Amino acid sequence: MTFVSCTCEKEIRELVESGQWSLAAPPELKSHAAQCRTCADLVLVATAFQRARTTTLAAAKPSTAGAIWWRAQLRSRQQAFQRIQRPLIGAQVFALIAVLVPIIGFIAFESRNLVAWFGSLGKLSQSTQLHAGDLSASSTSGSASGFIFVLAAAAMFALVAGVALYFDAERK
Amino acid sequence: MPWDLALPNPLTGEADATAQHTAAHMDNSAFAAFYERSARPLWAYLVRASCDAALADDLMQESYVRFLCAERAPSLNQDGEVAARLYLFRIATNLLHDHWRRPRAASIDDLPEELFTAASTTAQTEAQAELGPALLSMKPRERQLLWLAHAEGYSHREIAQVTGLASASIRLLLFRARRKLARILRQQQQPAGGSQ
Repeated sequence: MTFVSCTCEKEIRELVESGQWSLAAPPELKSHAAQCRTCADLVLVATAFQRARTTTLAAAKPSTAGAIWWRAQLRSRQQAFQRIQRPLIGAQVFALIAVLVPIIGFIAFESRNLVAWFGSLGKLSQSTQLHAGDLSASSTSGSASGFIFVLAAAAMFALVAGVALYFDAERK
Repeated sequence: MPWDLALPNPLTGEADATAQHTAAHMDNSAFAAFYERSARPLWAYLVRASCDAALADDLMQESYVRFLCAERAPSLNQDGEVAARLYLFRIATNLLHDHWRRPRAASIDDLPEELFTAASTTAQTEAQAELGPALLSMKPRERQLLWLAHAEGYSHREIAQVTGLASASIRLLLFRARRKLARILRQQQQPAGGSQ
C-alpha cells in the first residue's frame, strides 16, 4: 500500500471534527473529496468516528469520582504498608539466618561429642544395670554450657541486627 | 516516625503530607472535576478499542486508580489538563495491552454481541451497527490509532505519547488503518444501497 498524502487533509479533518463538514465545507473542497481517494477515506472514516464518539459518550455510565478516589486511597495505603513491611521482613529473614548458622556450626563442631554421647546411651540401654553416675559421666556438660552461650550470643546478634536494619530502613 | 502515621486514612482521605503518595499532584475536588471531564472519553476509547463494555468499565477504574497512585503523574496545575489526560490514556493503553497479552479465554477475539445488535433504529445503535462490525475486523492497534486520531482528535505526536509508538510511524500506520476501514465501510454500505 503506497502512502499518499493530500494537502487538503488538514482542512477536511478540522471541518469533520467540528461537525461542519457537509454544511460549511466549500463546494470545491467537497468536489475534491469526491475525487481524491485519501480525502474520501478521511471523510468517510472521520464522520463515522465522530458519530460513534457522540453515541458512545452518551452511553457511558462512569462510576462516581468519590469511589475511584477512595479506591486509590486504599491502594496507596496498601502500597505504603508494603513499603514499610519490606525491610521488616528482610530483618526477620536476616535474624533467622543469624540464629540458624551458629546453631548449625555448633552442632557440626560438637558432632564428635554428640556421637560419643549417643553411643554411650546405646550401651546403657543394652546394660541391665542403669547407674545414674554413668549418665552424668556420659553427658556433655561442658558442651551444653557452650551451646547455651553461643545460642544467647546468636540471639543477641540477631536482635541487634534486626533493630539496626529497621532504623536504617526508616532513615532511608 | 511510627509506621501507622505514614499511612493515609482511606475513609477520610486525610494523609500525612510527608508520606502521601496518592494524588500528590491533585486534591479531591480537582480530581472530581478532572474525572467529570475525562471519564466518558476514556470509557469511549476503551470500549471501542476493546469492543467489551465490561472490560472498559474495569480498565477505566484501574486507570484512574493508577493515575492517582502514580508519583510521577502530571500535575493539573503545573503540566495542564492535556498532559494529565494523555498520561491517563497512556495508562489505559498499557492496561489494554496487558489484557491482550494475557493468555485466557476472554480475548479480543471474543465478540460482545450485545454491543452490536442493531435491533432498534436509534441513533446510538445505528452508529454502533455502522462502526462496530467494521472495527471488529481491524487489529487492536489500528482501532486505537483510529479512535485517538478521529474521535479524540489527537495529533500524531500525542498519539505517539499515548501508544508508545514512534511518532514518525504513526502517520503511515494511521493511513493504512484508515484506508482499510474505509474499504470495509464501503463494503458494508453497498448491500444496503446507501451512500455517505
